[in-house]
Amino acid sequence: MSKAIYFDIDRCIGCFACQSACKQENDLAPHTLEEALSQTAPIWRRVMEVEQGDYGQETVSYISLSCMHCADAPCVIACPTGALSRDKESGRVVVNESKCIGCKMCLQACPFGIPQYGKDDLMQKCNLCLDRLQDGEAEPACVASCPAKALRYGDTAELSKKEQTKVAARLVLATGNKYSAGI
Amino acid sequence: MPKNEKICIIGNGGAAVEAVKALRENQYEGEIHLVSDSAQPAYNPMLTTYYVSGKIEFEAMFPYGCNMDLYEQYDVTLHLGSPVAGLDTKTKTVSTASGAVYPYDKCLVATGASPFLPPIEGMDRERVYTMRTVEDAQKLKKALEKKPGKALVIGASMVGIKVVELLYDAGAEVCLADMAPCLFPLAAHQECACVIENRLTDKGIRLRFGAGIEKILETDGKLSGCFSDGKPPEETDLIAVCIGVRPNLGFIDREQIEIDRGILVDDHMRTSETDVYAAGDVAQGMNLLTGKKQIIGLWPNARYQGRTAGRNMAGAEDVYSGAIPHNITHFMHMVFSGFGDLTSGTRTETEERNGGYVQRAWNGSNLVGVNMLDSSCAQIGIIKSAVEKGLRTGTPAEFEQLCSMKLRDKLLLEHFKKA
Repeated sequence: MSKAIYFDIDRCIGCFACQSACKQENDLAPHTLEEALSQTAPIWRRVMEVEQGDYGQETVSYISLSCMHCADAPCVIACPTGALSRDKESGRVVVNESKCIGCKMCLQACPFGIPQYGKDDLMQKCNLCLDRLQDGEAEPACVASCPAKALRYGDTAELSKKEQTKVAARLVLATGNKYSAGI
Repeated sequence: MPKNEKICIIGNGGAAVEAVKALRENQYEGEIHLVSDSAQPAYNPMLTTYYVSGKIEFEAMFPYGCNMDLYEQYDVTLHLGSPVAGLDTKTKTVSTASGAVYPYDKCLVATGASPFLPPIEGMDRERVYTMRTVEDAQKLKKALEKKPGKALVIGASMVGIKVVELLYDAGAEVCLADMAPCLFPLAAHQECACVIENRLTDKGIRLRFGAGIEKILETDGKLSGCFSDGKPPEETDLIAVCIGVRPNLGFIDREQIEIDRGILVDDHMRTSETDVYAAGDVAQGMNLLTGKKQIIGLWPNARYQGRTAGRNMAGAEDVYSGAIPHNITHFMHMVFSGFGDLTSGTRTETEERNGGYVQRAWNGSNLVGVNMLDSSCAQIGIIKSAVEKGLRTGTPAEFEQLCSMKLRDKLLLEHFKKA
């Protein structure tokens, strides 16, 4: 069954626990401000602060972002060596470092700016905690660390069914039919 | 689709293999015949320079595997080592130079492209190399064993610069020449090109721009390249010609199939002739930025086109609306990336910060081209995807947003708030 991480923007409180847990789990060095600005220190999950609205009415949102493991991933098509592939069973987009030549074609293909390059110049990114889950853990490190349950891990079909139900309920509420929403 | 149908694929590159995969994955059960002059499994021309420089092994040039397992898995009847001589849409047959004739119900032309060699004296000399095929790579790799002292690369293209790099790493004194006045004439703005040129000069690469090659002479074991500017010829031990490629369509009857520079295709990868499709470097599909048809010879574009052709041939409708020309290349400790056409804008702007360099070209409020260097390239995918999406959906990203990280934020907000 294809699995995925769902991110709920309404629940994220911007505590950066997922970012830290990801670095710890995947042995990624903490980065300095300079490294963060020039994106020279690899980071697999990043929390970003997004402000919007005018003065006096601005709102701040947080977005926790890592590889989306796209169903039809543009990086997989762009990769010239076949180093990137998507496992249909698990839904993981993974990079085979022994095949990667560091050409950065994936960087130009990814709409989310996910691919990272380490000191060896090879591409690295989130692998949905492959090792951790093989060791018997139930969830990726970022999901397990989230105190607000903004990150959820599970079967793709089930995750989207849950969200669909929520959206449907919201629609019903918005149209005023409070009794048939069942919540 | 009836089981007794026959599909003939001409060519054996990324587009051809993606078509094969798409056919079988969409329940096509008929015969697939693959005819190609190449006798090897599908390779990626872009990897040849990596092999010559020793960064990858020979086997790694074949992204689908260095054996015929894939073709067996997808039940493909191979006719390799047999160059195609003709395609007749009236009799629906493909004929090879050796006289074999293969009938088809649907045909995909995915013959790719070959290096362009200007018709000048001396182009056929022994130490004049091109860089496209596996054989080209093997020849150049062998030449490097002789430790050439001086090398001349003609063509300041994406391939050209990688050949410069590998010759430089092999210890040769390298000269890079082009008829254009600057580096990457198709991809870079003159200003950005100038930044890169200065860095190349600092590393000891000699540049000879603004003059075309006129003839290649050989005297006392030395090659010399004579240029149109009348300046002293370039004495060298080895010449690599990387001027560009031309589509392989010599066997196509122009009366039967519409051709401009390549074979014209629609968003289903159909040619002007029913039941004939084209994909990859031989096909001229849509450039989303200009709205005109153009050959965009890129690995991902070839794969998308091949996949789309395969799906449609299998009866599963699929549309590939087009691409925008783009490039990313890393060489000599720098990264250059870009998309679009910097010369088509009405104004350009430059931004330098954190060791990065960005140049954008605007046509009104539409972004028509971007050049990026080094750390700035981290954003290229986000911007390229936003522009592409805007062009596909008819809602161009706004000017202000394309200038900053606001773009990323806005896209992400949209993505996560769509429920």
